[in-house]
Amino acid sequence: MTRSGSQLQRIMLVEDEEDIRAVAELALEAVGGFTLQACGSGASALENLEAFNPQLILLDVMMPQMDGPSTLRAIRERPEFRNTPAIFMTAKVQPEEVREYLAQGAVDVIPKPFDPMTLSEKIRDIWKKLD
Amino acid sequence: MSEAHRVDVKEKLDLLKARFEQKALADQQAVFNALRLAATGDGNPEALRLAYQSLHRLAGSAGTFGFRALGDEARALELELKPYADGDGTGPGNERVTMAELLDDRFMERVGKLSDLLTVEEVIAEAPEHSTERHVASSEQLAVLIVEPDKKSGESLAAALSPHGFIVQCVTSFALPSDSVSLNAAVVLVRDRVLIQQSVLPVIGETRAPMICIGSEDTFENRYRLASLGADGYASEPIDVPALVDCMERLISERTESDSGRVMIVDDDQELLEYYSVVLENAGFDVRKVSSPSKVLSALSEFRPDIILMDMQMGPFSGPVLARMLRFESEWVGLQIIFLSSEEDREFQFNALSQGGDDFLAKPVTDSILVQAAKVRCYRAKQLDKLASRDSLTGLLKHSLANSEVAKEHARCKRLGEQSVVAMLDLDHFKQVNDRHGHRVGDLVIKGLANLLRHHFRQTDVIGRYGGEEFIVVLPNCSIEDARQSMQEVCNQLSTITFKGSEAPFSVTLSVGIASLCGFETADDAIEAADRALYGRKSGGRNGVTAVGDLDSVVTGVEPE
Repeated sequence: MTRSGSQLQRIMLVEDEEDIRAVAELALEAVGGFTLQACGSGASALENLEAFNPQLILLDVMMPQMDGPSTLRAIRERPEFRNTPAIFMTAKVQPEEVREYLAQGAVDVIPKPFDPMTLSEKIRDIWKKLD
Repeated sequence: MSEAHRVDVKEKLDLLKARFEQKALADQQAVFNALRLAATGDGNPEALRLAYQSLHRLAGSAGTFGFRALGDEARALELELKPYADGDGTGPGNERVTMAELLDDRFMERVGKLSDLLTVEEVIAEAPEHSTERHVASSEQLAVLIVEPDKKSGESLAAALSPHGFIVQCVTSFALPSDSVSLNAAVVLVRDRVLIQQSVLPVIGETRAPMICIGSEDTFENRYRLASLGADGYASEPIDVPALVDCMERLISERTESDSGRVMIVDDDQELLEYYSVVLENAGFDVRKVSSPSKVLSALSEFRPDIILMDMQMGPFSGPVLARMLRFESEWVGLQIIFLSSEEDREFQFNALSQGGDDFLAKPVTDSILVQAAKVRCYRAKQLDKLASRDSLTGLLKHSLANSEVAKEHARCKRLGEQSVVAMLDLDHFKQVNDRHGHRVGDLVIKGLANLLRHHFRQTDVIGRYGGEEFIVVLPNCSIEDARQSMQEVCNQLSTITFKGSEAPFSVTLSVGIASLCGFETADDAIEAADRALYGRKSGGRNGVTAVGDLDSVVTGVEPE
C-alpha cells in the first residue's frame, strides 16, 4: 500500500531522447497509472510547467542546450516550483556524481537504464520517503 | 494490472524495442565514424564529443530495452572516453595517453562490435502488481508450487491450502517446461520420493524457494536424505494443514527478513557515505545517511534502523565515544553498532568494543562483504527485536506495541487527511475450543487466524494480538466499506478452514468490529469504538463484521463516513 504515494499523480519528464520518452510514458502511464507530461527539452519543460503543474519532475542529466541541472535551476527560479521534488535520471552513477546531483537540489537519482516495468514502483518508493 | 492490459504494455514495449534497435545501429555507426575522425589529425573535439554523447545515450537506454550487455559495454567505452570529451581533449592528467593511443585497433574493434550485442537480450521483467487502489484482493498473495505425481492428492492439498490465502499451482513433476511453472513460488511442496530421486535440489525461480517435503514414509533415513539434499521441512501424512501452513509462514518470513533491513550509516566522509549507501540500497536495504555526528540522535528516533554502521573517527568525534553516548538512552541500548575501521590493532578494537560498539568491519570493505555483513546483522537484530516486541505464539505485534503503531497511523491520517480503518477481531466461542480440544489445538487456531491475517493484509504492518483470542488490525488508506468487505472475506475464509480436533474436525468463526481511525480525536477513542462495534456484533449473532456506524443504540458523537 502506497501511503502518500497514492496522491502522486502528475509527473513531468524532461528527456531529449524520443525512445526513452516513449518508454517512460508506457512505464509511468500504462504500468504506473500516473499522468505524465513528457518534454523533449528544458525549454519545453519551462513552457509547460505552469499549465501542467507537476508534483514531481524527472530530469535527464545530459541533454543538448539546456542540461538537467540547468533546467532544474531555471525551474527553481519559479517560486511555486521551488520545492517541487526533482529526480535526476542518469547512466550508472558514481557516488561522487550522486552527491553532486543531490547538492543541486534533487531528492534522488534513478540510474539509467531503468526497468520500464518497475520504474513506477521506484518512484512511488521515493515519493513515500519524502514524507 | 489486468492480463489484457499487461499484454498491451508488452506489445508496445516490443514496438519501442524494435525502433530502438534500428536507432542503436545508426548510433553505433555514428560513434565509429566520429571516432575515426577524432583519431586522425590532432584530435577533433567536436567529433569526439559527438561520439561520447552517442555512447552515453546507448549506455543509458539500451538496458531499458533489454540490451543490458550493450548498455554495459557502451558505458565502459564512454568512461574511457570521458576524460577526453570533458576537458580540452588532452586527456587525463598524469599518464598522458594520447587520443590516438586510446583509440587503437582494440578500442575501435570494441566499438565495431557494439551492434553484435544487440543480439544479447534479456527478458524484461513482468511488472509487479501495484497496489494503490485495492485493499480487498490482496495483491501480494503468496504462490505455492506443489509437485505431486498423484494429481488427485495434489489437488486436494491445493484445495486445503487456498482458504489460508495461498495461490496454489500443482504440477506432477519437476521436469515440466519452465514457463508452465510459476517462477515466483514462495514455497515448494514436494512429494518426498520425487525429491529423493533428484541428485541435487531443483531450483525454482531465481532464488531457491524453501522446500517442504510431504511423505507417508516418515523414517530417519528418509528425513536425513532429504535434509542432505537441502530440504527445509517435512510434513508427514495425513497432513495437518494448519501446522503445515505455520511451517510455510515461518520459512517465508525467515527468507524475506534475511533479505532486507534498515541501516543507518554515520560517516563524515561524504563520498564514502554515498558509496556505502548506493551499495546497500542496490542490495535492497533501506538506508539513512548521516554525515554529522550531532544529528545521529534525532535521525535515530526518526529512522529507527536495525543497525548502525559508524566510522571510527569523524572530525573531532570518536565513533566509540558516540556509541557510548547513544547507550545513554535506554531505547538504544540494544541497537547493534558496527564500526568501519582501518585499525588493525586488536587491542584498539577491543577498547572500542568496550565503549559500546558491537563489531568491526575492516576498511577497505568490499561491496559484497558490506552487503553480507549488513544482512547477517540486520537479520539478527530483527530476530532479537521480534522476541521483544512480537507475540511469541503468532509473531504478531504485542498489545502495547500495536497500540503505539495505531497511534502513529492515526497521526499520519490526521496529517495527510487520509482514511484508515481500525478493526478489532475476536474468535467466537474460543473458550469452548480450548475446553474441548485442549490448549495445543487452541494455539493452532490462534496461529491459523494470525497467518490468515498476515496473508490478507500483507500491505499493513499493524497486525497485533491484543489478548487471548483478540486481534487488532489497521487498514491504511481504506474506506469503511472496503474494510467491511475485506474483513468479511477473512471471516468467510476462516470459517472454511478445518482444524483437527481431539475427537472430530471442527471450524471456528470470527466477529469483527470496525471504526474509521481518523473519525476520532485520539487513536484510543477509535480503538474503543471498534471494540464497541465488536461487542455489537457479538450480541447480534457473531460471525461477521459490524461498523461502529451500524450501532444505532449508541451515539458515537463524531460519526465518520
